[in-house]
Amino acid sequence: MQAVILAGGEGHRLRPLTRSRPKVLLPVANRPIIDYVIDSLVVNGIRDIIVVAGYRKEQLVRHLNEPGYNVDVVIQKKQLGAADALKCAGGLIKDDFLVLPGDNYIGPSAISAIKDRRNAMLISDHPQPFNFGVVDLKGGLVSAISEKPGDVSGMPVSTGVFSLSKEIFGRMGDLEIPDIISGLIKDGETIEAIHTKDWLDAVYPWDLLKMNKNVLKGISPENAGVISRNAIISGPVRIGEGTIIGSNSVINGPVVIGEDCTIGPNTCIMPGTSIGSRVRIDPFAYIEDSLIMDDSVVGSHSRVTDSVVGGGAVLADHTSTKKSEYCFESDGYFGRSEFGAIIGDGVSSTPFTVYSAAVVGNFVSIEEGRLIKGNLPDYAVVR
Amino acid sequence: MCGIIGYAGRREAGPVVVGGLKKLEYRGYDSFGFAISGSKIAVYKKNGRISDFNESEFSANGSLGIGHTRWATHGVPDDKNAHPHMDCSGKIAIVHNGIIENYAELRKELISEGHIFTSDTDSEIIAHLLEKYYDGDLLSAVTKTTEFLDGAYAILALCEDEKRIVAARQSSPLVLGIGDGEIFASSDITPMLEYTQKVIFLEDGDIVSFDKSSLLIMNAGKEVSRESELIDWDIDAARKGGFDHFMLKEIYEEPDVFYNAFYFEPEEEFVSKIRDADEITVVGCGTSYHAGLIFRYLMEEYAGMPVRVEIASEASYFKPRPGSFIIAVSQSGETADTLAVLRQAKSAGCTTMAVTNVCGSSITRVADYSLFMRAGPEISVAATKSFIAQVAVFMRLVDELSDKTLSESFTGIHRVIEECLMVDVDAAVSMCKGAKNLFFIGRGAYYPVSLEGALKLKEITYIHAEGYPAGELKHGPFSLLDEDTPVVAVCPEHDSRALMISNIREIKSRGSPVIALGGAGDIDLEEIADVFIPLPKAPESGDIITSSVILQLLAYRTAVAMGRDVDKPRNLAKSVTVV
Amino acid sequence: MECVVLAAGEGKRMRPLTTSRPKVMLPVANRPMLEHLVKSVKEAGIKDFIFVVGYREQEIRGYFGDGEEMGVRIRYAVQRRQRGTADALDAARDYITGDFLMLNGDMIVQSGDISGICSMSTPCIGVFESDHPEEFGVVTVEGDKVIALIEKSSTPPGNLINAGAYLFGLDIFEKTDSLELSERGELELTDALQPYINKGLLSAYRLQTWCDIGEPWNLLDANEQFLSETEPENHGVVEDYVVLKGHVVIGEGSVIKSGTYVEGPCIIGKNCIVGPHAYIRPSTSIGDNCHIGHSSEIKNSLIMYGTKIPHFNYVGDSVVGPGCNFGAGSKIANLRHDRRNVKSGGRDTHRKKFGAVLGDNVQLGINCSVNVGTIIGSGVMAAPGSFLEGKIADKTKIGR
Repeated sequence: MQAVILAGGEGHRLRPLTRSRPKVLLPVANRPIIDYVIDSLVVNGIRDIIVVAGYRKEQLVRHLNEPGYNVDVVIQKKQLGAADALKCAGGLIKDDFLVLPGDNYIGPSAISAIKDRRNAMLISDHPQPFNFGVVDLKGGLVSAISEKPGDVSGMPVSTGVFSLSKEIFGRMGDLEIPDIISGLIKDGETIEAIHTKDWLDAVYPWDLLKMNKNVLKGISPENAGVISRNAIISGPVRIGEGTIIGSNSVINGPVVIGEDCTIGPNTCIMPGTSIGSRVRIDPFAYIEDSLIMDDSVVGSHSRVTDSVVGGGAVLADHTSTKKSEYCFESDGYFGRSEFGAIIGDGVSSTPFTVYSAAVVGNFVSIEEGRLIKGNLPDYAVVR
Repeated sequence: MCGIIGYAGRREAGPVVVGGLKKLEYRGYDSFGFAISGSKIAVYKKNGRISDFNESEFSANGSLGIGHTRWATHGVPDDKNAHPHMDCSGKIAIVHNGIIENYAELRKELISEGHIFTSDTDSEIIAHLLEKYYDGDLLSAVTKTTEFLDGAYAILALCEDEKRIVAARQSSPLVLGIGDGEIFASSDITPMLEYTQKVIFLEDGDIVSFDKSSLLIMNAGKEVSRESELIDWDIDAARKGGFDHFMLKEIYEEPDVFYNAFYFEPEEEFVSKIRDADEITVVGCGTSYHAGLIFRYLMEEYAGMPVRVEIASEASYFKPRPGSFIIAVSQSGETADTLAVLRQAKSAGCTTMAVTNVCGSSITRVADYSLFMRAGPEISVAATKSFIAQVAVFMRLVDELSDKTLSESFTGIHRVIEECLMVDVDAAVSMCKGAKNLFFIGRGAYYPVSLEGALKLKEITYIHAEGYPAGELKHGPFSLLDEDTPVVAVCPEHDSRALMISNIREIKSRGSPVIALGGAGDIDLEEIADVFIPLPKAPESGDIITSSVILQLLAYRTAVAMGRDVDKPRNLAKSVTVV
Repeated sequence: MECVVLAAGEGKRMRPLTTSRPKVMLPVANRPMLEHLVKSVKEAGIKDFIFVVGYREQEIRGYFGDGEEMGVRIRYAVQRRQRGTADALDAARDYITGDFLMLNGDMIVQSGDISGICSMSTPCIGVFESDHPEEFGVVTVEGDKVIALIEKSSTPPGNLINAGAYLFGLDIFEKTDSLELSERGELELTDALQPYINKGLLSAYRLQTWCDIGEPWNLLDANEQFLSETEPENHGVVEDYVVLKGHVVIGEGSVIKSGTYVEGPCIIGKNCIVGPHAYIRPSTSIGDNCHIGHSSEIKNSLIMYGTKIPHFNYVGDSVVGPGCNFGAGSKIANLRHDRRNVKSGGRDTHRKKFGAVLGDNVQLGINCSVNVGTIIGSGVMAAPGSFLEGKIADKTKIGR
């Protein structure tokens, strides 16, 4: 069986984090989301994998070129949606195949539930079903998928994972995938709905924190690098090669720390935290439930919780994040969430900056310590 | 320049040789050919690239085979000049990598003796010499023949009556691979990695006879033994994956390449030797020479030590002084000119160091010390990541000799290089692709950056481009400036910025369009330049890297826009192993 | 008759012991497990071996050479990528002339069983009655005919397992030629046997004794088994006031110093210094050039060559790689206080008592404490007084 992973989209609702990478490459527990999808397929014996790349394709292709991945890559020239991406892979499809979104966490049990079925889709539950296509069911079969529904609370959502046969390329035209499915149903085909719990999607940047927390539960502990004898490491903790853990630091798993990081003395790294590679955490910093990407710096005496910090961001000493409520509007819907800060790539902020439910664009420069709330666009300068 | 391969073993030789040549294609791609010895010797040769070879066109059975992929030096690239070359009887076939310097006189002599030549190559004389001296023993014929040859060669020879291959090496690379019931000989290790990890690097003067299970190495008439080495290279490292070209793939590897090459611990011993040297000289060719020039500026600025940098092919006209520290830079470690200078320096009593990407390569075996760039295999003919790695190694040396002035500010350098990959150069590309001539200018360390930028552009787009010190333009080249000659100015936030801006104004007044690379937010520069490319914010001296990466991308995108063969530009070969 | 031995794998579950040697070169009673296997086969009268090698092949070639020293003939075939058992067999194809035996290199069998399987008609598969059939591929048998091969599962339909020993004729290659990649992405020998099973042609031979060595703690079981059969030998020097109880083997050049108490069965290699006042307990193998010093106690452990456990140390139920150095007072725990099975690297060892696995050249400072089940990678260095547990990657430094 073959599998097509759709990885061409930017994931614009995750901005500012998707400026330098497509959504599939956002790191969760220090691995790009797409890796979990590939792993789940391989565990299920599906090795003929085609990845459709588009937005920031070079970054994705470079990642897939690392040893250990054996996938074919096709390029989607323009981002014209999922069906168009699938069409790009059409020439390589021999028979029945799975199509999967590369930017969702899809676990092995989800794949195993659908892999031997033909004409089937994976459905799941989500607290905000309006972000997805919702599925009408009749006796375990799909009767309709609707993209822009009205009140949909409690309805199952489409995960975007389908098991299809080659014939569907004949009926694609310019249709989107749900329309193609509707067409199939109209023509008397049955589409089986298979429910899974082993699926997660991050629609908004703050959703990454939940996904990160979930995935961290499954890590296998291993210590490497240079670890102080006086560091206190408990719970499942993964520390990469070349990383230095200073004395009296406390690391309570589940935590992953990448390669070549410097974790200063007397730091606290608490559960639910992923720290990328080449990151510097200065003495007396406290990090919890956060995702800190490659090449960032967190200054001493900082407290970073419930936050995402993009690549190469430099937060000076005494930075604080305060978890508070954030209201947003997206595609006509109003939503609420709670988090500390979402900080883009290359942000730099001065000592004593406080972030409270802030979404800070890429390369924002905060030149004097103050309270940052709400949204700051890319390249903004706060004086 | 050329790539050769020989195989003796239990498999069919044909597919092994063809597969091997494909891996050697980067060494030359004007023509290819091979000879398979079964009951008779069957030969196939053709103008063009081995990657275009259609397997159904030729099949021959046999357990012995030799092959060649050519980069033309003597005689135009065509079918008849392709290797293998045969003697008059058609019983002896040879492939050759290198240059025979005295071929003209040998050829005249052989013709007078009645030999008939079918090609214009220097290599063909070897086949006829073998015929002349063959009396039933190919090994002694090769030994005798090499006595008459001046120059550089790696030769593989087959004779219809003998079930073995005889090889000879002098100044051109030749490696043996030892498998189970099979032995390989090749210009480098890539073709045999699939079959064995056990290799023997031959030395100059070695003459080897081998069949599938026995091996005899002779040097100066005596049997010698050579230690075998185990190679630990990843077979898959050289896949293009989903990239359109190797060049782009290699540029995208640069964040890791710089990081890995920069962060190493130099040995105390040679660092103190450099510190105490009477004089430091860097030699290299092409891109490696430019990396050496950057080293010179950085050493002057940070370590206060003067450095001499010489183009390898010119350095032989200077006499190395004992007490000098000679640094030879070569990606492949096989560059003939660089090797020659290194040998000369060593025999003059200098301390020598190699900076290279290939462990076990010739320069590492000549030099007293070796620094590895750890950039992984570079397949594209235009050097990109190896340049970045060379600069990284040099920066680390400067750092070590100047009390860590550089590395302290290099936190986040990985991310900064990553940012360069996303810089939009489209406006600059459309300006460059229509031009016939271009100038690249810079001051200080950005002068060699400009030289390298110009080299990249000219070698893959075939547009004439010249790197120039910005202040030097007015001493001549100004007369060449006009509205059809764009000037690329490398003008980051650096001591030279003010002078650069006045240079750019002078150029503008001659009507030339200017593409300027400068610090993001440099409003003055943005205003005077026709196309402004902002450099990502980088630590001190990091702009050397960022501007180099962006100029590589500019060259790449321009070449693609012009439809050039980016990875294999005309007339060029990856490593030049002839002088 | 030729005997093909599959010895190309690294044995990932054996990491870090396999850092610089393939699994089959790991020692049991101071000899590579592969040597024990060759001996058994040789005793059954087969002297023509083909080793399929790959990972760290040089270690195998260097040790066995052409086999002359052992009185056998050994040829080598290389499998460059790990693509399954059928692919490994295919690598040896050129050397095979008729009916042949094929054995996994990582098991211990007796020569009687080898003779037994060779007396059967081809094709034949060796099976063994196991207490843990859920950890192996299982074979169902009617009479002596195999009716099914079932992949490893948590609910095996029987307790006869596939022992990785086969007798084949040349016709097996017709079957392997038409194989396709399995779900694991490998060419599986078991898939090639299916046509034989369908025709009722595959017979089963029940092995009397068999031991598979997949995990580091399996080495301790095999070691115990081999040591129980050794006869005492002393080629070294035993000083006065040394107590040697039971069967103890002492290699050439080794010195057992005063006050040392050795309980056999155990084996001490060449050029070792043991004592004074060391305590060596049963089922311990100590490799060549080791030093076990004053007030150090070693119990049921496998200590590889050149390792130094010189003062006030305790090592119990552990596998210690070559070249390690224990600082004074460093100890390895081997029992959980809740008396549960020890887990190591996330896997159940099925043992109440298990200490640690140390890779090559581990350096422990003085007074280090190593918790039960710890896996310490090669080249790890720990500062004095460090506490080590869990899984520690190669070259990690536990610093001050």
